[in-house]
Amino acid sequence: MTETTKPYDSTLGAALLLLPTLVVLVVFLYYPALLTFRLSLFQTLLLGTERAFVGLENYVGLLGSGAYHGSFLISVAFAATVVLGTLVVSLFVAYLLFQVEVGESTYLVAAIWPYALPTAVAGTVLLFLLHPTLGIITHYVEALTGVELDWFTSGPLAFLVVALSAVWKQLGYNIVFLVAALNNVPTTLTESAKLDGVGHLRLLRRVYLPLISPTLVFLVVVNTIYAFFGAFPLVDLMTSGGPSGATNLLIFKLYRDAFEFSSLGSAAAQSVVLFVVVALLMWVQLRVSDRYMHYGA
Amino acid sequence: MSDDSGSPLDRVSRRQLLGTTSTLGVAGLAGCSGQSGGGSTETEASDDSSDSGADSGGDEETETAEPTTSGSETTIRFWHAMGGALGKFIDTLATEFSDQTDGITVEATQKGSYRETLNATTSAVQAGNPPAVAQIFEIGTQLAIDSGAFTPIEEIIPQDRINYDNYLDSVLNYYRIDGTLNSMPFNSSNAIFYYNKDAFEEAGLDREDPPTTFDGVLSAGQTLTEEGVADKGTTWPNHSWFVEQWFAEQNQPLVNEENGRAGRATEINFESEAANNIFSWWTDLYEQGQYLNPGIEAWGEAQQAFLTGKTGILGYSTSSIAPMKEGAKENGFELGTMQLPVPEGQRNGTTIGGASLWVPSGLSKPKREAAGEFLLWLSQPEQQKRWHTNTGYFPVREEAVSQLESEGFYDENPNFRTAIDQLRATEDSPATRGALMGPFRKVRTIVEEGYVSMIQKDNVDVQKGLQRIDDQSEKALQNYNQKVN
Repeated sequence: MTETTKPYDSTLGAALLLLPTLVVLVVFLYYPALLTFRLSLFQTLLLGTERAFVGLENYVGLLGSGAYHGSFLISVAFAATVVLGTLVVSLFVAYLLFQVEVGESTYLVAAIWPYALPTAVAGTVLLFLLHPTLGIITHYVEALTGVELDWFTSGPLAFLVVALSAVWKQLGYNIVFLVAALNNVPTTLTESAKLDGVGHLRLLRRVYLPLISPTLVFLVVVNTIYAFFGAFPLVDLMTSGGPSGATNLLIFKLYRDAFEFSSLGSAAAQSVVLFVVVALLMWVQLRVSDRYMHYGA
Repeated sequence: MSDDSGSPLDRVSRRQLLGTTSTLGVAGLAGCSGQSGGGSTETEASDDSSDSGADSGGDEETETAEPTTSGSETTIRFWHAMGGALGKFIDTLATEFSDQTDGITVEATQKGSYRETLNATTSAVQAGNPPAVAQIFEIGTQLAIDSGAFTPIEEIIPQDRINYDNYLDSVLNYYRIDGTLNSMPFNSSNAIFYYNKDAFEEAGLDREDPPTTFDGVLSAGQTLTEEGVADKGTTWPNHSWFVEQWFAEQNQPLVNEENGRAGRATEINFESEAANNIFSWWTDLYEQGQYLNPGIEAWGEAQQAFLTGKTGILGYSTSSIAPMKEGAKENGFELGTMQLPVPEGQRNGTTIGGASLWVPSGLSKPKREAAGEFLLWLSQPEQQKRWHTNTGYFPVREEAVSQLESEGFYDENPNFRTAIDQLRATEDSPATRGALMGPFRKVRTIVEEGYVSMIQKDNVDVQKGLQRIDDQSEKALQNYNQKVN
């Protein structure tokens, strides 16, 4: 590995080939990001028809805003729930899929299916299925358990419903990667462990998990991004951030501030903060995981 | 492996791993972001109809190139927020106008929801390429004025071509500010209650005599549930629009400065007796199991609950009289309509909801004139009659109503009569003209979330909830006013 041959002799040639990608990145990511930062220093009316420079006032405003603090904490809790929930459930399902010997592809397709559904469609369908008074699922759950599932008025329940929906939506993606990773583990290891009489769960924990850790780290990162940015349609369609802000994720709050409440400047500041938070989080995740990760199986 | 001992090998492998997985990863991320784009279709249905822009935000048409003015042919663009059947109807109107008028072609495009249409229009004005006519929702009125991006239609339509005396004042007054008509009312509606005549009869209530007061709705609901005819008495979307209507009925302006029409509003009146009447009743209904909570601005869910017989009464908009009647028929019951219930003896009238048509500034002369022609044509009685009878939206012209009356339309369709009677009974006052304020959208959200906080398990009482709504709304007003100055 240390002595790799360079695929291109000329640096210029390589640069030229990279150029299209760089142009796309600059035009569609870096430049808008810079504009967003600039916008975060302004106070605006409507979509910026009138704007006034206010320096860091938008950021200072966020620091003192109780609603923003609440939204921040909820987003972190939501991300933790979704990342953990998705990983645990999908790992379990993937392990079963990996072990099953009959009709494997049918199960796999079934497990991946939810991922094929656009989140917005999933949100709309789930809202009707889970609606506290009209939903068919809620109806039967309430009839069977006797528990009242009014998540329109209960904050923790609403949080749970959105988190579960988000987990369900992200399972397929995780399962694809995990099944692939499990299939890459040398069969010799499985065989010798079985000869030693190691049980299923122990096998998963002691043999497979360390070997698929690079994939797990990748999934943690992707799921984190998903939890912070991708759950937006679910919140927008199912709870509108309520009740009483219980599901008011940062991404939803900033969207609403920008496009519904016409505070583009403050929303831009929130967007910058969110970007920094997620970037930092990913950096930490990669640093920490480096210590435990096992490469080169 | 710890970072300290990190040999180049580790780094390379990690990069490689990320490299190999990145293709799928990027595809996945692209999927995520694509979906969130789709998700931005708006949940906030407009105030009046569940099938306005809300349901069809996705199918925005690609913008055609700037229509050119060649010779005597002028092409103007009309941006609106109506989806579904209403959107198709607007297309028909635009095509008919283009066919009937020499030299003018109207291209109607749906720009998504009301809010998206407003955003798109102001952006287009900034970019110097605005449509000639844009549909903007009623609560965007103050925003549209403050944006400075529009010309009042009184300056667009030649004075000698229009006689405002023929227009329904109760509709025009909302959009007339300081005596100037800023925009042409297009789809106007107000709140109305529907009821299930058959369910009423089954429960032993008079099928032709629905309740008219707050208490009446409560007791009718109790009868319906006691007789096992419905799960709950009534439902309507948790929407601030209804609260605003009840403010008007009690002759209580929503904000100070004559509802924001004599000056910029700085205070909101949620600590009034009127607000207390509304919210005490509404939370009481919920606590007694008589109000089915469909969700915030959940027009579709409320309608579904009513049509499937879960409730016997529904609060909705007059704009849906025609489709609601169809829906009731499909579900095998006869639909009745009743005026908005009010607290004892306080019926001063309702305010207009819906949207109006605005003409942006900075248009070329031919386009301005074409826009004026189009607006005039739209407000002719023939068009207005069709618009009214096909939807339930109010006509803007007096003649449209009187013609329909002599044709016997209201006798054949008593549900439409309820709506038009309610409109005509409205007494002109600052309260019934409706409120003007910049952060209206935000205030509505505060009101709706405020109601939820009153019915939550660890609920705040009505008094405290109203105080909170009041405080938050005034802060929003303050912020907005500070920005404008």
